[in-house]
Amino acid sequence: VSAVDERPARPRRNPPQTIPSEARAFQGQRAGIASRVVANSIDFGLLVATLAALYLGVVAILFLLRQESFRFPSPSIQAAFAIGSLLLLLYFTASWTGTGRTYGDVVMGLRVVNLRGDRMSLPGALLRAFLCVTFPIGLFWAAISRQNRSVQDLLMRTSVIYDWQITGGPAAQPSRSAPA
Amino acid sequence: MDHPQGDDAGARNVFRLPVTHFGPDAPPAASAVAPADPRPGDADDRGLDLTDPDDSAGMPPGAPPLPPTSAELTEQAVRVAVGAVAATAAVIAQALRATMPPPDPEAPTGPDPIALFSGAGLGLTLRLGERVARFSGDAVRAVSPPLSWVTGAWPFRAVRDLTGVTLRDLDEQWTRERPDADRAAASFVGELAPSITDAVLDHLSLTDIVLERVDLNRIVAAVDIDAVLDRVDLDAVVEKVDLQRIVDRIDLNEVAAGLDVNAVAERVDVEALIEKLDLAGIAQEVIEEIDLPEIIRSSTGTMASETVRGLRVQSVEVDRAIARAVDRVIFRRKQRRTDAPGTAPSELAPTEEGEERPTTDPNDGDGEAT
Repeated sequence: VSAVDERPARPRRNPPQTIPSEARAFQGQRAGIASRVVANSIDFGLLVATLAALYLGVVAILFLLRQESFRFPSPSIQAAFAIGSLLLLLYFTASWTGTGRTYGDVVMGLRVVNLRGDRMSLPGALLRAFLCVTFPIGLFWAAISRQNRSVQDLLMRTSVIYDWQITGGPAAQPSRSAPA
Repeated sequence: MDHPQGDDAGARNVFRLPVTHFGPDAPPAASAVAPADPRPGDADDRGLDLTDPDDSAGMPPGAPPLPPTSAELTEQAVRVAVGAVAATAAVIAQALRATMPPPDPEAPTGPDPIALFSGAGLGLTLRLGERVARFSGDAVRAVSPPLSWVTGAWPFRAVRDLTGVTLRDLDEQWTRERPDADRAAASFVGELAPSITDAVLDHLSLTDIVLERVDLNRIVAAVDIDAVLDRVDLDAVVEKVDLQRIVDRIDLNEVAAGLDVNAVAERVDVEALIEKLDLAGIAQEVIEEIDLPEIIRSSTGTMASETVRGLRVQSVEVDRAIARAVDRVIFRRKQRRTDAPGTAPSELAPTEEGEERPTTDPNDGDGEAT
């Protein structure tokens, strides 16, 4: 039984559209590769900035602790990569289980939803974040996929959609009939 | 049938006769023994006015009309009697003829002997009545003055006074008992009239008579229809009417086409209507219904800066361009299936918070199978 049937006798009227008219044509559809790359680039820049800030924080703490013997730390590339990957993993997981979108997604008007159009569960988001961090190149399958899906999307049965609506959660719409 | 027609004086007398006094102050039979040629003003002195006020219109002021003499009265009485007899005789003769078989139309027609003789007799009676009345009037006029010493003598005067007193008593008694007599007569007539009327009406067709003799148009023109309508309970009449059937027969579209809606609208007191409306309540309800705060929140979120919107739109266009290019490179002919869980743009309709998300079709998760 669909949830639609269980609504009260007097259903609430739909509020007026708040999505700009130019975006209504593709609202809810799977996003293409360019938007996703831009969004991920923004996220990557954010990660770099965070790492830089983290490094500066560590430097500041070290400077305060041992001023006489202070030297700028020079972490190995592996360590930096590991820390960055961990941060990205946490960031993705939190974003996708929370609002369904990272900051890059927010800027680009994208949202990650599961196969039901809903926000992802924590395990699903964690697994997808792991796949994204370990195999970022899989994103480019979205350019080739007929459904605009990356490798991670195929594995996790998720979709990245255009969603300019900032509230109400992802794909907050009634179900549709089978796609043509 | 000829009505008895007298000269001008006689005709005037006909109309004067009914105006007689029956009050208690009327002199007992004074008119019957009135002098043959009364002087002007005598009528007022005796309290008897036999003149119709309308008749004095053409007379010089200060000259009261002459009352009829006894001779004229007698003459008029004879005429009336003869006329009545003649009318009755004519009616009876007509009725008799009606009961007899119709006459042979080929028989020679001559003067009706019955009509001839009866007419002659009536004329003779009329002439005799005139003569007698004139002679008696002349005789009274001639005899009265010489006999005045006799009539003025004591025994005559006593007899006359006694007669007057007796007549007055009798008149008073009549005046007292007249109501009873009237009532008795009225009740008698009331008992008798219906049966007589029924018997008459059985032989008559009133409808035919009315149609034949009555000018209905004149009667209808004289009727005050407004007054009649005031007395009619139109509501009760309307209740009996099947208005629905009437309305069904009316072409309302045509009626509406003839309406000046603008004129009607101009007469509508819109402000009064608005005053009756609970606009604040309605507005509150609308705001609650459409969840205005949510709209504001979502629209401000959606309406990002121009830069962001431009960036988004451009990236979407690049998305499509890349997709087309890739499809061309790999010779894909089918269109991409970008419909995702959720809805098409035309079906955008957010559900309420906390509501279970509807599921989408199972094909969405099937990857590249197609």
